[in-house]
Amino acid sequence: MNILKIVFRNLKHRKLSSILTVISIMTGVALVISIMLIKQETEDAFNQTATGYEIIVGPKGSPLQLTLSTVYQIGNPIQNMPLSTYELLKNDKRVKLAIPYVLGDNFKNFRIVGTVPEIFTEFEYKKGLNYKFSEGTIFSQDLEAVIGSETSDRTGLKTGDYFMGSHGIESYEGSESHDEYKFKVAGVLEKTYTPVDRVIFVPMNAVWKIHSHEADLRKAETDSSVHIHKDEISDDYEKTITAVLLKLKSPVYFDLLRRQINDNKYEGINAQAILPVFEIKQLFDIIGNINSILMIISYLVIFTGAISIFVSIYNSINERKREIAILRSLGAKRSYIFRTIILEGFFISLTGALAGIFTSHFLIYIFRNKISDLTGIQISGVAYNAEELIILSGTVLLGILVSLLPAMKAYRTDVAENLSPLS
Amino acid sequence: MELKIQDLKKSFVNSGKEEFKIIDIKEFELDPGEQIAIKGESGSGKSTFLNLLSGIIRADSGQIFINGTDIAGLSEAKTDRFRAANIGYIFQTFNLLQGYTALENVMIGMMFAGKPDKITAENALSTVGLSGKMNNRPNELSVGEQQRVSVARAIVNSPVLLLADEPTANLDSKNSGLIIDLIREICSDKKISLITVTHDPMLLDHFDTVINFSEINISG
Repeated sequence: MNILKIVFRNLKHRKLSSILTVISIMTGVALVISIMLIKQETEDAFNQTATGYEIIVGPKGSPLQLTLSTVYQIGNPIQNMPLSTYELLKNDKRVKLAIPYVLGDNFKNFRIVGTVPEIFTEFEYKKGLNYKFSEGTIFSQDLEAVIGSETSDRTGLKTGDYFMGSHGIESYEGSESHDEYKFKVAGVLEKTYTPVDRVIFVPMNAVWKIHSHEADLRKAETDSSVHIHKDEISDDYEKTITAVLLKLKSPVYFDLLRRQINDNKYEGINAQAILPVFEIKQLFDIIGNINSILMIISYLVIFTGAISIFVSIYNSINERKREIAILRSLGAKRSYIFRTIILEGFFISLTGALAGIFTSHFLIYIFRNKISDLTGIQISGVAYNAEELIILSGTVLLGILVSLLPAMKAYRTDVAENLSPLS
Repeated sequence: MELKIQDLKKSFVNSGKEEFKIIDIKEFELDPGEQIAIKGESGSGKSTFLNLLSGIIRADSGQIFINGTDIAGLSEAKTDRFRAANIGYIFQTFNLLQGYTALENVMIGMMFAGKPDKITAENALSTVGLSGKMNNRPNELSVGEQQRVSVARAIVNSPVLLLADEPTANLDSKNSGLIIDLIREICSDKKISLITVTHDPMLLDHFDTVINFSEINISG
């Protein structure tokens, strides 16, 4: 026999109360850590992703909407803008690289983005990192596609497979599919841990061709003389894009170019130029306030758990006065009784906190795909954070603190009085 | 073991805040290995006397020498340690820990003396005839068996002094005789001094030396 056996026997003796107390601590810790992990990993992932995109030029409207729809594949694009915007910027001497984006279709909710092959050869999605292929290669024909790693994993598409896109950026029941155009997967990208993992890249021309064909079909419904183009783009179809990603030759052009576009002083361009990093910072400033409220609520849940430790142990002292008196009569010092009670609080809070940490990681791991669907970024739930150690220590300290009063009560138990025969 | 008491006094304050003296013993001695029974009316202070001897309660004044150590003058922590190693206590209501087996109850008794040893605990239970019920919890034992466990727990550390407070009060007459004979036999074998307090005439018949508590305690 030793003190730990006695502590565990006491906890086991009050099994239901001990388990419920552990659960309440676990819930609070799991909430705090889940919120903290999701916030931190999301913020990190958003910031890291945004840093790859220096400037985005898109139609006038909400800068945040433009950032989210272009960089994170969340929400609708604002509108379309003429292809000439891309061509003008591409030929601007200050621009190192211009990548156009055309959004509009999807395959099983994975967005189809029309773009140019340079995105695979010249675009750095993070500093010094280009997209790499885990299999296949860049598309070389209009109806070929390059898919992200998650798109491949979750749709089962591999190099050489065919698929048909559906109209719109999200699938819904009865959504129109472009039956006459089948894309062939030319390549699969390596995992980048960015929203691009969930994208399907196709040549811009393919997107225009499909939508030109659709426009012809719509016109033909009222005008039988309309010639329906299938393999080429109709002459009267206006080629548009949804955004242009820009990398500049020097940071000194940042403000100048941005102001020029935003102040409508760039001839031939009617658009807005935004810095995604700035937009994301603003977004997280807003989310930060909500996050703080959630964290306060979670800390209150932990505090409630700590109160239940107090109530559970304090109430048990009344029932255990005789047992304490017996131990004292056998030679247990007051300090031994005090330590026993403190250790009970310690083990309840430690078990609750560890279970909470495990639960939060487990839940994030289980729901990682759902989080990815909602936020466009991927959270593993596997990575541990130094702050978790602080939360663990804080919870255990709280458990010890709330045990002090019951421990004092046990410490002061009158031995002779409680050894007397029960009347 | 030699027990020597000098000018031992203990008073309590009642609910009316009046102080009343319960123990006032000028002098009392017990020779090594001696076995005595102390008789007295209920409320005469017999249990308080045993609690003072064991250090469970502190005397207001006076000395209690056990083998030369004045336990009335020790700090509380040292008294606890002394009690664990040198004094065995058998209670009227057995005072076993309900959540623990017979063996664990005995081993907890050894833990505070700093010498927990399973074999010694098993031997103590065998000595009281419970070798087959070591893993039973108190509620799985008869009252006689429960008191045997408490005897095993009291003698397992080879104390120099065994205190028994109405050890047979909760037992039937057959078990009472068996238990008191068992206690006396063990104390004789191990040369443990024994003080039993009781008001049960049947129990007193088992002792050669019976002292009327009012003869040594002049508080009343």
